[in-house]
Amino acid sequence: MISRAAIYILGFAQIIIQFAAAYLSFKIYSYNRVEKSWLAVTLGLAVMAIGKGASLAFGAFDVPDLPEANVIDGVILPFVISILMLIGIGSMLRQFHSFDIIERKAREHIGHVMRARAKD
Amino acid sequence: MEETILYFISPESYFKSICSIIKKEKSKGIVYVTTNKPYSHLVGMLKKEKINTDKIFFIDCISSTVGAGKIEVKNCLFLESPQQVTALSIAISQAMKIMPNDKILLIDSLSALLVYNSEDIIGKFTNFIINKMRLTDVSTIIICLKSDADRKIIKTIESFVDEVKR
Repeated sequence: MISRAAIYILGFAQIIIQFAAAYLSFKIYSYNRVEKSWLAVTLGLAVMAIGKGASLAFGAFDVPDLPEANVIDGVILPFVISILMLIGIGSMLRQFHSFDIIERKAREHIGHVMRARAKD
Repeated sequence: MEETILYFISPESYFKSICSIIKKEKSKGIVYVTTNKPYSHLVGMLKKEKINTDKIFFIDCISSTVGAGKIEVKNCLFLESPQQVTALSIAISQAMKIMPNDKILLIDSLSALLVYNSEDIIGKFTNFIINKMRLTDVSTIIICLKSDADRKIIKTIESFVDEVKR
């Protein structure tokens, strides 16, 4: 059986890791200027960390279990996080797809320029 | 020898200087990155100067930003915005990979790119492109407004290039 102290240590580690992941996903955005919707991933990771923080705090201060809190923690937050991840990862997929299109179009267009140069 | 040149141009002689660079390099395959003027306008001006634009491959980063209607042109690739530096790098790399032998990259201009991007991003982008072109034996010409010459990032970029012309 895992001790209460271990639960808190792992819980805090989880929060730190999630905030670090949120920061890194923001760095990816600022470095590569991917679509703005990529920030949904950053937001999703931050929501995860905040949710975990709230859940640990409620446990630490022995806040009695409320059915509403359980619904928020167990259903609504995971749902919101899933949606945010879907939006963010979907935008990354679109971005990679657009890179493919750029490569293909560059190949097609440059062919025309090479033919025009060959005429000389 | 392939080299990288940073040109500082005054606004008054801006277009004339670009035309003379293109005329000087006309024997080479030119990839012209425009972040300054939309393709349709630029081509019109170049044609007036009797430059055969069919032989130049354009990468237009500005038309979509200023809301120019989508047109399909055979010698131009339109990017969504000058902020898409990753897409721009991909387009340049792809064009250079396909274009045979003597080729030159003309970036018009660093000043306009700096309007749309942070100095940090443009510093990384310029360093990446310059070195990528060096490794593939491509000459690079980068245009910059004289008025931007004192900016810290421009001083840094001066250290990346082989020659600075004022």
